[in-house]
Amino acid sequence: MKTKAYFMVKLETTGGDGHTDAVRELEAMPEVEAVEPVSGEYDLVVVAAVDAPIKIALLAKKIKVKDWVKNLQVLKLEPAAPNPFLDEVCSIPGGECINWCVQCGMCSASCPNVNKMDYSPRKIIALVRAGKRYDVLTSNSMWVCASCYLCTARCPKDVKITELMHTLERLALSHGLQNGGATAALYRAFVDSIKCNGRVHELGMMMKFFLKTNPLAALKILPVGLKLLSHGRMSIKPKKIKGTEQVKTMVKRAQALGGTK
Amino acid sequence: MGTKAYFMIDMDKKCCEDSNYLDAIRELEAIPEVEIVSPVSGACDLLVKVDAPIRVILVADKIRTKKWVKNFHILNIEPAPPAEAPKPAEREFVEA
Repeated sequence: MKTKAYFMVKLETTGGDGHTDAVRELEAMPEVEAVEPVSGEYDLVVVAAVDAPIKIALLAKKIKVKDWVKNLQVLKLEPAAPNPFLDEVCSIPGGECINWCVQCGMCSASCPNVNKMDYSPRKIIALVRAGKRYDVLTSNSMWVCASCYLCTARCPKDVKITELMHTLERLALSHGLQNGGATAALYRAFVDSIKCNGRVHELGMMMKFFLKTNPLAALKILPVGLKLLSHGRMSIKPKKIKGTEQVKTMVKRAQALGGTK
Repeated sequence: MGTKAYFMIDMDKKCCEDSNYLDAIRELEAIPEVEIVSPVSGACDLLVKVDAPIRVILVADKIRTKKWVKNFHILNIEPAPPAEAPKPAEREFVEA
């Protein structure tokens, strides 16, 4: 999807060969769709289409350095049609940063799991902005995210991509469209364990997880579990922390703020 | 005055809440002389291209009176500079 922009150019000298040369030079640029000489506050209106929003700034720089440019104004085309999916994502804490993205692709280049994703993080942001609710929420991208925060650390616009992925996970769960397979079930088992005991009870959590997904798969890790039990690294009975009621209150409060179980 | 022009419209922030903004765009699109309405971010909020068969100023006045218009600039589209005439090819004289 191309991003369109208008460049309003004020020339150093108007009329004559300089004017014509400027029009010819602009028309020769591959990104430029049309150049229209105008009279008024500006001398030229340039219509351009670029692959990614970041390239608007690059094209503006390319035009600004020309010696015939006195003043340049960039008017970036904004979508006018309402996008309820984007509004929904923006309204959830962690999702509002989606509007800062310039589609540079640094997140996709940094992600260690990008080859396992249906859509790269950059594409996920572009799809949300395009209002493709079904495509985004049925993809596995957010569930494959390992929350390593490499994308967030490297993003030049400080977009919290990891938080955004968790936001999309919550949305997918609430819409019943998750494609996360076992990941969502593991999250649920983890939260349930924390709610009951205030800490993770590994045996109970894994039993709950396998009962919800594939009980036979538990046989694969049975030897490891038995070893851990025999060495006293895992207890059969859950150990509760002091103040489990406070933990329950915290989880309930988080769910009331928009979190989903 | 030419028959084609761009209007750079700055909208009154009080009047351009989400729904009003869309209403303003629809209002402009309903004007028969309006060719393109582009919502933009930058020096103005809307860039409108018009093709008025008689006079652009009449359309401009019609839009300028809308209550959501704060600032209004007209950029008249001038005819493009003529393309360079190709040099006539040298005629080859073939001796008979």
